[in-house]
Amino acid sequence: MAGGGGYGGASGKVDYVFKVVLIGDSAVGKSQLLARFARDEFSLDSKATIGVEFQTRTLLIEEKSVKAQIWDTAGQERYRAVTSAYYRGAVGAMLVYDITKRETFDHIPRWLEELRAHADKNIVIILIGNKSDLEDQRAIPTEDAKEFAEKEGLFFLETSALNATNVENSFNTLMTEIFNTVNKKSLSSAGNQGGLNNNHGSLAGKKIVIPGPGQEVTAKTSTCCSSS
Amino acid sequence: MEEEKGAVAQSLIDVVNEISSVSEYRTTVKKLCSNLARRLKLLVPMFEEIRESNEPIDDDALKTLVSLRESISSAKDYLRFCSQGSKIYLVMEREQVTSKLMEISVQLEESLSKIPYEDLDISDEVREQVELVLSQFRRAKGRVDASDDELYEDLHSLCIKSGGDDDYQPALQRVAKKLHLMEIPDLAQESVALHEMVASGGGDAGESIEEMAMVLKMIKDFVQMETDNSEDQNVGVNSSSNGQTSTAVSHKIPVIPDDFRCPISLEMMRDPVIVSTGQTYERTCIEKWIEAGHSTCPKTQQALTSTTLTPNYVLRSLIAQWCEANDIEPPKPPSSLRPRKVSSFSSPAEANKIEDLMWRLAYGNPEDQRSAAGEIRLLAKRNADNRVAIAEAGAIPLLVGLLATPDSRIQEHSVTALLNLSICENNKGAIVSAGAIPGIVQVLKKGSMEARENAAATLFSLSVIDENKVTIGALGAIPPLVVLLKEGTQRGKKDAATALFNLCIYQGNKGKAIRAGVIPTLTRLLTEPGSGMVDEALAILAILSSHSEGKAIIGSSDAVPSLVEFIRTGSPRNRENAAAVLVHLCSSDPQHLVEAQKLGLMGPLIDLAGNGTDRGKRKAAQLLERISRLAEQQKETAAQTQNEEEAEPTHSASTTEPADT
Ligand SMILES: Nc1nc2c(ncn2[C@@H]2O[C@H](COP(=O)(O)OP(=O)(O)OP(=O)(O)O)[C@@H](O)[C@H]2O)c(=O)[nH]1
Ligand SMILES: [Mg+2]
Repeated sequence: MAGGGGYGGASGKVDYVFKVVLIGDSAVGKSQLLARFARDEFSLDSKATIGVEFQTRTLLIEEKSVKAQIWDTAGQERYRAVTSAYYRGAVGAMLVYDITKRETFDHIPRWLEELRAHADKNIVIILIGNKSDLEDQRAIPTEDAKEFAEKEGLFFLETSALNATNVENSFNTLMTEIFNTVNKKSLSSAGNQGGLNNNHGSLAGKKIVIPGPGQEVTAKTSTCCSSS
Repeated sequence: MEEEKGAVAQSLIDVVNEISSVSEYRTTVKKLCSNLARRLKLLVPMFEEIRESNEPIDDDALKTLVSLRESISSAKDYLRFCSQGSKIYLVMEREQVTSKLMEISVQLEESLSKIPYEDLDISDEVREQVELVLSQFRRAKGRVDASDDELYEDLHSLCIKSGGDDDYQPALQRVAKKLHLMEIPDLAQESVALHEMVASGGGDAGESIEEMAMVLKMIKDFVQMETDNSEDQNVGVNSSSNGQTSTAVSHKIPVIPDDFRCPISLEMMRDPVIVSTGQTYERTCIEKWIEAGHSTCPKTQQALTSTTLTPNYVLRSLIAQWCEANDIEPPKPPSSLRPRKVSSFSSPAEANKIEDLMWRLAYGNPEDQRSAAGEIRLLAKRNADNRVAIAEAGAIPLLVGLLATPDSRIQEHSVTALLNLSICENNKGAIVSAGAIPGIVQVLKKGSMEARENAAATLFSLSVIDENKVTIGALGAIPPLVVLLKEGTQRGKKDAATALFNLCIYQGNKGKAIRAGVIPTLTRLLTEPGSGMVDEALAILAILSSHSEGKAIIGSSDAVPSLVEFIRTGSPRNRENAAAVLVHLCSSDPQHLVEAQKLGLMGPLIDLAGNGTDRGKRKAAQLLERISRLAEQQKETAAQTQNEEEAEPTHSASTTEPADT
């Protein structure tokens, strides 16, 4: 797959900026997922994240250029530096566990709780079971995670940052869903507030250019991502 | 309206105080920011006077104060950022940061210069101080600090690279070190600062911040790699020292006493030094710790009140003795270190001597301490190089410690040595931050007469720095200075007077001096024949008369006759000071003016207005104006009473017309 296009920040105008946060226990592969998505890189001896980090990548969704601003933080308590501020303005979240480590999955409800306590209530969440390449060490059956995700109303995918399986797909799913949510909101509120970035609340994203009239909103299409 | 003025003044004071409480600025902008903060702090006395004054101010004047407050609070926000914000940003965007700071200065200067000082009830001294601040702002315009170019270049080169090769390791090393990004918490904090900038900027982070995030990531990776390596190294060291131990065990080497080990490295100390909390560490270890930006004592977690490291000579000699007794080669202090520390001395012999003196000062018996303090006193008196070298050798905290000894000779030598050391500008801060003031005040109260005099002189020398004025006043130095002014020898009086003068320039100290009863002493010195203290007394009275309590007490002390006399026959400086006092007295009670006129003020005053110093002329003009205003008022009242008297008989006829037409 490598070279899935759009790396290194497409220059030119940006229509939307979406802040997305990565959370989950230490060593589940958050930073590697981000490295894979933003720069198509992977490293086996990745260091624990200190504080917060971010990278960006611009995607094309329904002919709009959407910049994903993805924030990654330390899973290790002692390396973490922010809690509520981290979630401020986030419109999407990736909740990551390691399919080979049961406790990372068992902790998911806690992460969810923290997310719901601090983030916007309309935040779009995707649950990610990472390290799918390590099938022989699997500790969490796919079905269990799927069931949990359905119960909690989350999107769900299993990924491998190592061989890139589903990485692109998972970010695209998240970004597209955010895009749709924002546009639905904007249409429903355009009538009374006359603008996209009004105070309607929450899930406004950061709109750079107000889309012209007659914009089509094709719900549930997951065409996305720019040229290859 | 009146209340509003007070409230505005109070809120101005509050913002400035908030600025003063901003702890530390990032090194790259430290100078600019602390200058700015310091200048703003100098405005507080003006705000205090405005707050306390009873004269109402008009709407326009109030508006200027409100707009000054706006400028100051936007300065506050940016100064906060310069203290808490991203270190990497502050360097990489230094042009933007400095120009923003310049912009803030210009704006402050503008709002400051719009204030109609004439219409506000502000004393001359405060007015002068504000003018000084204004001129500092003007001078600061367009002057940019020479900042660390290497750091700047390094960061920018890292931005361009971010490749895979590792020839940028040295640059990373320098950057991490200079920015104090060597420890996990520092790195985490920096990452949060960048996050904050992106989050509060809203939306797109912008390429430059993304680059900074990349650079930070490189620094983190580098630091984490270094930590791993050094952990490996430690393992290596341990195993090799294990090897040593095994040979040592065969020799039955006793265990090294814990006290001989540095709490940080756990190794036997080669160059033990004492920090301000009293703990001892190996010099290189604690230096590294402090350089990494820490300000606490690693063992006790207490704050380090100064970064001075005092050699622990006793411990060093104990370690050497123990080594000798156990037939181990004593650890040698790194030879490159010592000569560097005393480089200000011309010869190695002198360097040795000073080291010996420190030793005696720290751990000798009282006899030793007395003679060592005496020698340091003389050495520090001799020349500027000595003053630097003695301070570098760690004498200041030792001398401060000795201020509290019961031995009055040691006390005297120590305080005088501090006085001589304080002549060097850099030592002034070091002495105060070594906690010297309480000790000096104690000597001032209880020491021998000579020690008291020198204590007063030391306070004078230290009070040259504005921050010190505040500290010295707050630590109770003023009442004993007033006592010395009253009962000291001629020299003691002079020293006390100059110290009091300096201290009272700070508005907050005036009340302290007044309440300590300085005014009766001063007015007595004015009239006492042959006191030789007239110049000093008048100068101090002039600054105290701007204080409302001071004004009242001087007014009731029957000083007007001598003031008039000084305006008539004094030196130019005394004439202007006497006139200044009179201006303040008359502003609250015009009766003094009447009295002064009766005493023949007019002639000398007109002469002063024409031939005095600039300040003298100004004061004389103010007085003359008041006199003519007073005369007018008197005429009016006289006319009124006359009218009333005339109106009396024709009372019935005057009903249609007011009496004063
Ligand atoms: N086999 C395999 N290993 C992975 C995968 N993703 C990450 N890893 C490895 O898992 C370890 C931890 O990955 P990181 O991305 O640093 O983990 P993290 O979640 O960011 O951890 P913290 O920063 O401490 O919160 C590293 O050794 C990675 O190489 C994957 O998909 N497959
Ligand atoms: Mg990580």
